Amino acid sequence: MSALFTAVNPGFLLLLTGLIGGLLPVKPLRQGLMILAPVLGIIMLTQAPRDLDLATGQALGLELVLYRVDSLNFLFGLAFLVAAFLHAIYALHNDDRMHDGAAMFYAGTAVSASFAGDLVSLFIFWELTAVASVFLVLRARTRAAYNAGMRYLVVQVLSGVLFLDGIAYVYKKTGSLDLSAFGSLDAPGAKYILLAVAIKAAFPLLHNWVQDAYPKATVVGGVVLSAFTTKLAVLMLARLYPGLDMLVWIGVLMAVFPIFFAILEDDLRRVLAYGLNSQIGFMVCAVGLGDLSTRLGQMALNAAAAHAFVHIIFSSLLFMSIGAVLYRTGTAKASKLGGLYRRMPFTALFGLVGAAAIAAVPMFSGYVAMSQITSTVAQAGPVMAWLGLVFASAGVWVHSGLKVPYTAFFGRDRGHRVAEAPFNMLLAMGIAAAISILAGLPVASGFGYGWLYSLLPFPDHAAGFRPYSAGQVIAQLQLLVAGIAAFMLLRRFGLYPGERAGTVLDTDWIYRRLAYNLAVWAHAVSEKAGPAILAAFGAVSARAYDRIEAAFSPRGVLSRGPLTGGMAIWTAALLGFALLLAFITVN
Amino acid sequence: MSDDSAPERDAAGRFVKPHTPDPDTPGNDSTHPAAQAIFGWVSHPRTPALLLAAVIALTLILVMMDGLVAGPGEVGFDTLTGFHALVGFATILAVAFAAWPLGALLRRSPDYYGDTDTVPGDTAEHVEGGQ
Repeated sequence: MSALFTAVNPGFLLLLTGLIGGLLPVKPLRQGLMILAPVLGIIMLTQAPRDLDLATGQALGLELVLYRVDSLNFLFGLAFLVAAFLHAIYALHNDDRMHDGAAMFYAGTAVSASFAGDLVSLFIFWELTAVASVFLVLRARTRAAYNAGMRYLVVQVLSGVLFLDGIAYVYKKTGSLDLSAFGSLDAPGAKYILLAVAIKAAFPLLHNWVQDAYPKATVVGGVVLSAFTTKLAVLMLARLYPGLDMLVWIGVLMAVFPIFFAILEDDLRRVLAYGLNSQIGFMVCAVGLGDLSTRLGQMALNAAAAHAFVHIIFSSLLFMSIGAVLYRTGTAKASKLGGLYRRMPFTALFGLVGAAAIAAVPMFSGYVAMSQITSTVAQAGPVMAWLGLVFASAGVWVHSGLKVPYTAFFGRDRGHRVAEAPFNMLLAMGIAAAISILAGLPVASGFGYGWLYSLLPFPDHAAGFRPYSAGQVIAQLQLLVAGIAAFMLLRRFGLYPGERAGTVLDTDWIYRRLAYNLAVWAHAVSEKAGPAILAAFGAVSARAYDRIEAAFSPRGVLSRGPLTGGMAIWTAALLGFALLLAFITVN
Repeated sequence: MSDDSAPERDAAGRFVKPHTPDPDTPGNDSTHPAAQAIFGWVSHPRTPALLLAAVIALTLILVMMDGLVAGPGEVGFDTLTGFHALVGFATILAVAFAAWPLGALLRRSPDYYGDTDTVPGDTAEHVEGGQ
């Protein structure tokens, strides 16, 4: 029994629970299963031995490794399971078996993919994440959600197709399906798979599916979506491309550019989606420095893993708090919100904890992870990259740390007379807030940041890092407090750009407006001018055919007279000369 | 039929201003009971000015502490006194000022893409049948 317990990928348990949940109409039983499965999954994971193929299988003659735990995927899998548990609690007020099932199945695919030990198994679960998660967008039951869901599916499937291309290339050239680092982009299939992972990680210019789909998902769906796909992509980057130089600059760009969009955005779930993008940038940058042959590289990978773990929790917390506001007021628009601390004080309090964590305020989980990243980049990366990340830290503070809680909870009262969030939502937020505080406490051993660091891929190096040195704490506090001062002064003098309703254009404009309008224009042209164009094309074709036939057919001009005979003789002579030349040259 | 618009009078029969609950005062009927305990200080009229003064004072104290607790620094120039405070302050100014032209350039009407129905079907109005 014990062997069976440790030989089953916990993700499979979640997948099974998701399938059963989708069919089970009895709400208490279904929701009980939804809470129990992740708890059981966490127990199974903690019992699993490391660095062994715990479950294998065969398909189409290929050896598949379905369950393998190591120090890297353990932390991601654990965070996914904790997130699945929190999301199940957060959804308790809602009686929607399809939604419950899809959310748990999606979590199951992410957990299963984390523990996959070969490229084909990973691909299967990679694709299933797309299929399962789209239901969380579609269940919002709006036309906007339907359209966004379809775009989301296209992008995700494109990532899957590229991944499959890469796997085929790897297998053809090497005969191996091992899930191991490529070493360089010149390795077979490395570029295809990097592009596939780049889409899922929402690299710059490939990012907009996050801001398009997440804010249009259901209240609970937005929370669930924020946890899994992008972090799974970070795990795959850490697994397949550790130490790839270009990731450093991609990560910095990714951390910086969303700040400018987030400050303009009116929809707070879109602001959080941009914040998520920026945070993934920090992780990608750290992975880019994660050369496993060096101590600093190992520390960089530690930092990426730590940040992914804490981000899964505090990002969920932020989406939960704005989700609760959306649930009660029916809007997540900053221009329509304000003053909710009077009606939803606990939601506001938990939202503030999430904001403090994402902004890396000392004593919160984001700080102990982000300080590791900036410290490693300072030691091993270019100075400009470090400066970019410091700039991004302050930027995250302004949009996710200050703008989101201020506009939702403390800005001008917009007259929403609503009740506090349902108890289950508060409970989920409370647990997430507790983790976000406890994992950041300055306790080096036992619970506190020491607990988090002990779970990292290279715990010995992590234990040597001291995030709470006086210099580091003062530096971070300066950044944050001076940032608040700037924010308050700008607001006081009316220089801060106010919350205005509107659509902020991003790269999705290319396919949602430009390409769409071009297609509409082409259709209109073909409708109006189609018959005339076809007639003109037919006339030109007929005339060309007549001319060609008149020249080249057996009855044509070129078949008659001495010119044809002369041409044939000259062609034969030139061919003979070429053959002679080739013969002489070769010999 | 009751007369809802009848003017209010006090015990002496004098007209008085009708009572309207102030939404800005924590503790009134539409306010959560815990709001006063947790965030009661927020609605005090002097809070914004005091908060701004406290934040500026704290920034100055932290800059002074920077001089006292001189760490080794991470990249060299970050050992300059008040470097991080300057970066934090300047970044937020830069982002806010950049937002004005960017907003003029990139912001369109809310229904630019026709996405006007963005309220999902699992809000309280749908799940609980309204407040």
